[in-house]
Order: sequence, then structure tokens, then C-alpha cells
Amino acid sequence: MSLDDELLRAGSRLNARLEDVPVPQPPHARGRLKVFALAAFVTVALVGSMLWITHTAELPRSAGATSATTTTGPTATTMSANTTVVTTSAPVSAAPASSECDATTVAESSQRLLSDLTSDPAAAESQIAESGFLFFSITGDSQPRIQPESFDRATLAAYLTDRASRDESFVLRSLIVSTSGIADELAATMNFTVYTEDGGIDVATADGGFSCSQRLWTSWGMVNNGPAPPGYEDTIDEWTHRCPDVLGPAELIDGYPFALCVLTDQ
Amino acid sequence: MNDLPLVRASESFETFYRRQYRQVLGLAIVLSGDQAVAEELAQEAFVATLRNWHRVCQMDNPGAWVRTVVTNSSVSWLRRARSRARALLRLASTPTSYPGLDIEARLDLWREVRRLPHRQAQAVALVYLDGMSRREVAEVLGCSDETVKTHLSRAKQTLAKRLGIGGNEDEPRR
Repeated sequence: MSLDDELLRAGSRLNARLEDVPVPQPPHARGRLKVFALAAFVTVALVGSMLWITHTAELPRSAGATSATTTTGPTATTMSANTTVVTTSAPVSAAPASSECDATTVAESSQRLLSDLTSDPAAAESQIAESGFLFFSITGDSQPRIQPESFDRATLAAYLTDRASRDESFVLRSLIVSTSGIADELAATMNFTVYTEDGGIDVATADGGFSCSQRLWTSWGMVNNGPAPPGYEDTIDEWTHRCPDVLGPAELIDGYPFALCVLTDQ
Repeated sequence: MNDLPLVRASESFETFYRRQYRQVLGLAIVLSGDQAVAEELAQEAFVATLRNWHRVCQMDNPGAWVRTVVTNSSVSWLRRARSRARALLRLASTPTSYPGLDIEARLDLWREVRRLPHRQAQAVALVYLDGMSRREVAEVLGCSDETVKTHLSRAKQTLAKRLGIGGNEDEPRR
């Protein structure tokens, strides 16, 4: 039996098993159920509290004749009289600062740089010098970044190759955040290796997998055991510190993660 | 292909959910290897879909959108699971497995698929479980047809080698 047949059979088997899986309530219905359950709980709790308070207030009267604890009477009564039902709601915490501004800034910067590469190379050089990095953010989602359709891979690849031939350290400062599929395509047109996080490029994982993204996550407390290539650690760490707002939440935007690629001339 | 990502302009979220749930769950099971985690991933993906339904329902292929969320969130989950496993390994100094990853022992072939690089595993799952074409997989993964072809080809080379069976075709026979 061929691998195709095996895979198709495995797919069919799993699909058959899934037929027996009950479909849970859709998310919104579950949300309503939670609201109903919460309302019911609150109601029961309130009624229970009132009953308990009433019961407690009546205790001294019934027990007073035979018990030495009559002094609890006024206290209990006072408590009952002063009891008010206080409804509290948890304060709505402010949403964490959005990365939209930073992402937009990077997008605009990337777009301008891409434009300058063809129309005004001097301006591009200036921008790179100013930022210290060549940074592109290229995604296919709805975020304000360069859309892949409009992204001129050939221009960027030619520029990077030329620039690297004049400045060996340049590639150390070239970082691209993109969807990994685009990173793969970009790598195919360039003369140096693109390390991606997900193993899309064989070279990146053949030796146990250097992962730039792992390095970044390490800075955010994740466990990591992938060494950076010699000489690249500082660049990556510096980048992590310089642009955490852009890279940090990138994983979370609409469920789209981003591959951070480091171009090297290895 | 199954009846997944068809254009159904007037479809409500609930109908969409009921039509897609099992197959999205299947994808999550294959990619995570853990049914409980998969259920969570699927639910999270549908919650994200519901949150964005005003936008997603306008898309040509809402099914692709929810699958993209599942593939991406499963990668995030795997990273976290592996990180935890490494930490545990270091603490215990004894061999351990990734928590939750080996529970579905019956799905040996899928376990091998999960050992592939993420994109390759996702491409294989979408083709052989969801019955998607290369173009449809490209839409879910946000890459070109050619990239999908490369992922599939490399995945099958690796699987064939590890499992000791042949398989050089780019597209499955139907």
C-alpha cells in the first residue's frame, strides 16, 4: 500500500470517528447559558442570604429565654436592619495597550522603504541608518502591513543582495516579519539563507533548528534550547528590546502568527 | 473535497458552526494529537470566528478562515507544550514525552505527521483529512500553490522514509 493510500485511509478513519462526536453548543449559546447560570446563581445566593439573615435575626428571640447569649440579639438585629444588598461588578479592566499604532508605524515605514528602494535609494539608506535595521512586515491578513500581492520580492531580493555585497554586516541587521509562506518564497529568490521558525527552510532546521522566534520568546519567558548562529545573538536580542510592541502581540492578531526571519549569508 | 468552505452568503454563524465543527475538530486533533486540547482549539477558533463574523461571513471562504486560526493556534499550543516538556525534562532529568501529544496512540500515522515541520503537517492534514486541493490549502496557509506543493512533497518524502513505505505523488489519488 502506498503512502497516499495510507494517508487517505487514516483520513477516512478519523472522519468516520468524528461522525460520532457530538457537536457542542455554538459559542454564543454557551455564553448565554453561562449568563443564565450566573443569574440563577446570583438569585439563589441573594435569596439564601436573605433567608439566613432573617433566620439569624430571629434566633435571639427564640433562644433568648433559655440562653445567656441574649446580647447577640441587638447585634443581630442591627445587622439585619443595616443589611443592604450590594451588587458589585468587577471593574472592566482596560484592554492592554494595542499594538496597532506600532504595527501601523512599521507598516508605513516598510511601505516607504520599499518605495524608496526603487525610486530613491538614498532615502532608503537614510531610513535604514536611522532605524538601525532593515525591517519589513509583510502579511496576508487584514493588518496594516504590506500586502503580499503588492510586495515586490524581486526588488527587495536584488537590493539585499547588492547591499550585502558592499556591507558584510548588513545582513545581520535585516529582519523580516512575514507569514512563513512568503518567507519561503522570498528565500527562493535570494542568495542567502532565510531562517524561519517553522522549518519551512530546510537549512534552518537541519542542524537542530535555530529559531529566531524561539529566541524572542525566550526573552518573554519561554523555554528555549535553540542556539542562535554565532554572532547573531546581540542583533536578535537588540531587536527584541527595540520592537517588542510589534513582535510581541504579533502571534495574537486574529490568530495569525508571524515568522520572524533573519537573513544570513551563510 | 468535503462540503467545507463553500460560499453560503446567507448562512448564519450557527449553521456555519454546525456544518464545520467536526472537520475543524478533526484538523485540530491531527495537529495537536490530543482530543481535549483539540476541542479547546476548535472552540477558540469558532469564538474568534464569531467575534469576527461580520467580516468573516463576507469572505469567499469562511471555512478557510477558521482553519487558518486552528492551524496557527495549534502551532502556538505545540510550542507551549514543547517548552513545558523541555522544562520538565530539565527538572526531572528523565525522559518524558510532550504532555498530551501521545495520547492518541491509535493515530500512529498522524503522530508521524505531527513530527513534521508545522507547515508540512498542516498541508498534509488539510489534504488528506479535509480533502482540500492544493489551491485551497494555499488559501488556508496563506502561501502559494507552489509552496504547498513543496511542503507536501517534502512531507511525503520524510514520511515515506520514516514509515518505510513508498509515495512520490504530489496529489493524492481520489
